[in-house]
Amino acid sequence: MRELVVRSVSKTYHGSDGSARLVLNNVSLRIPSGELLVLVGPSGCGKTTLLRIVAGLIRPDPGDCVLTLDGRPITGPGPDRNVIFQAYTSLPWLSALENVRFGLLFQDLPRAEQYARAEKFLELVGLGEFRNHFPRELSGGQRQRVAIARTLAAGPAIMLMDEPFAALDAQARERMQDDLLRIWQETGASILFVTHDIAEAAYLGQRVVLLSQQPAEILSEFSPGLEDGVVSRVSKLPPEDRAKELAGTVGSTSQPPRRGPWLRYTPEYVNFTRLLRAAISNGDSPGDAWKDRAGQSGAARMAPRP
Amino acid sequence: MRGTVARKARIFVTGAIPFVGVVVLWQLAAADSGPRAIFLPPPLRVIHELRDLFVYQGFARDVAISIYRVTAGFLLAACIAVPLGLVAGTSRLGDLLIQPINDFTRYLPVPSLIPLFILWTGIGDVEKVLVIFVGTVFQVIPLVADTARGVPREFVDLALTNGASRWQVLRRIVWPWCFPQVYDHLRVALGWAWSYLVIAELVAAVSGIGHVIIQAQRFIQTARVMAGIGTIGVVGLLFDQLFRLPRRRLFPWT
Repeated sequence: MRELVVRSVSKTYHGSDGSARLVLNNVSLRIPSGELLVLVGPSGCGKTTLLRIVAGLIRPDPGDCVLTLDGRPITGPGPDRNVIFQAYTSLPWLSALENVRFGLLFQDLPRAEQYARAEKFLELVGLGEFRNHFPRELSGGQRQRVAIARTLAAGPAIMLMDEPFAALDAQARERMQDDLLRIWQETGASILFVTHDIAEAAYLGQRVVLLSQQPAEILSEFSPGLEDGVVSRVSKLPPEDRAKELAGTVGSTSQPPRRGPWLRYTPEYVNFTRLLRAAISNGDSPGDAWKDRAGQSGAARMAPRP
Repeated sequence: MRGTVARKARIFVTGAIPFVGVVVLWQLAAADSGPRAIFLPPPLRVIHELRDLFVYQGFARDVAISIYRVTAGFLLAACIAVPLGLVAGTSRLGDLLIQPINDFTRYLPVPSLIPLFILWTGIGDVEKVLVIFVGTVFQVIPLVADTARGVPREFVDLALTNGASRWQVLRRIVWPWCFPQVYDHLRVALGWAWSYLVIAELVAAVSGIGHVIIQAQRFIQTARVMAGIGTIGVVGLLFDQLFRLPRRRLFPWT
């Protein structure tokens, strides 16, 4: 089973004037195969830093941190962890098809197979007829689809998405979210999705992890379980306990639950976004919104504070 | 089809208006005889002179030689400057090695180097090509380096996370990203190459457009000097158009 393990990762940036800024404080995460985990937190909190560390583009602070994918340590960027950035995602000098193929260019695959796979995934994101278009001839949403197709074609163990829909208009964003869910269910890909948009986090996340203002640390974690009509879990644990705790929590993710556009109209979704919003504005306590829900469903529980 | 023909005609006419204006002013200011004719002969006189040059003086050979020298010096400079610029723009070590010495040589006035070049390589084509080469290569390197420095970080990261090596990043990301801008830099550099050609041919030359100009100056044949200058302008314009022509096909994405 492919899984990503992040344990006790911190990151300090050193300014040229000798100042040090801690942006990530002792963050632990575990993403099992096939899970869609959303990291949500205020802009500039260090979400992107965490994602870039997982991608291997920057190194965490030396220390006793653990960073492994399928049990192998992450030491640098690699094709098993593909990143979709907010902007600059498709190469302007390549056609849509060539852009998708770009993800396969550095793997040992015969040319014919590279194109066959590129075609297949371009179809999957609904851009088959645009194969010969350059990115400048595509809309922002279409470009992000190309990026998703490229990432999927490369067959990474995990897709890392850094606010990929933030630059899109509201309509395109909702459409892309639905498409992402559909693609995620069809392919069974693991996804680490970073966003500052609470509604987006609530809608997409099979698990939602809340990060604090800088230095980012994990405030709490939610497993919305919207399709069952319950918010099933909230936890606020010290980091050392989290690692143990998390190891046992998510076992039912091999079969991705049914999700879709209908979710947006369920009261559970509306309540969950309210809960997330409250949790963020209160810093770390879920607040009244949470109590309301807990009282209704009874299925939720809140871990005792340390 | 007719629409595009009309459009092209309009573009051509618009471009020609300033030329006509200059010629009219020139005609008004010029004199056909007397001492004033030495300073500014009229346009028709220059055209006659140009015809004489081609018909009786074998000027075509001079033009061909000059084009050959410019092309050789320019291509040589491009072949050296583009790779060096890319290295300087993408690698810290490369930048440290290349930039300081390049900035030093860039400020050496090329005409002051001509005596040395003559001493080392004689007064033949090699010397002329060397002047053009030195005049352009050190100017193009920093332009290419700046372009390469502007490659978006995300593109490089994209290639790295897909498993590209350093060399593959250079070939698949840096080069395609820089190519259109580098191409434009080279187009501008070709203009400089023509300036350095004339400088090279003013000193110790037996052929070339510059040589014809300096010979005419010695005999105060002002019309011939102007005919030579005009020829450089026309050839330069043609080269520039030639450079622009394949742009669409080379960079269909821009």
